Amino acid sequence: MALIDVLKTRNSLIARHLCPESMAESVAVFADELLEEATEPLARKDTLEALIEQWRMERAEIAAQQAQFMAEIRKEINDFREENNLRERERDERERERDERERERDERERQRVRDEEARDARLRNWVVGVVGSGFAAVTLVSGLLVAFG
Amino acid sequence: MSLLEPMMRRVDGPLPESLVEETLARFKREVIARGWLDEDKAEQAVEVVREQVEETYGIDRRSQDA
Repeated sequence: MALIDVLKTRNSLIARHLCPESMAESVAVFADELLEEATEPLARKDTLEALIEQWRMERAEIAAQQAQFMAEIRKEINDFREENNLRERERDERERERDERERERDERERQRVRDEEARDARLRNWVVGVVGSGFAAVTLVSGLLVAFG
Repeated sequence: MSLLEPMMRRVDGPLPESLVEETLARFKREVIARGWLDEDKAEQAVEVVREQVEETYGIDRRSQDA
């Protein structure tokens, strides 16, 4: 990773007659090596800073994804709860309606039994009345016959 | 090789002047010591390298005050 343009440096050294062609490249390469060595701590610092920045961005991205995921999960849970509550309300409503229908059916049944008992009672009373009246009539007729006969 | 080595990026310019000057002074001492250039030519070679650094990265003159 050359820091300076070695070829250009070499050509400048030659053009200014500072050293022969055979040595110019070595001098240029040496200058580049010294600069690279000197700037290595800076390069490390820049590299670390770039890595830290990249790590921060990735962490922020992960945090954002995590937050979005959690929000979606919470929404799913809320939707599920609402749906579940709705189902429970519907089930309770159906049970109430069924209980209501059962109560009405029981009430009708009890009413039918009461009506039947009342009808039986009326029939019984009518029979008792008829028999009683017949007996009374027979008794009366018999009494008259005995009295005037 | 450190873990950072494969990810190593080029240094962002401009380079601090003190760093450049220290390196150029070392360059001058070394090329003279190695017998590659005499003092006068070494000084001119330093100028060539300084121009290259200036052209490639720029030199931060403020860093001298810092």
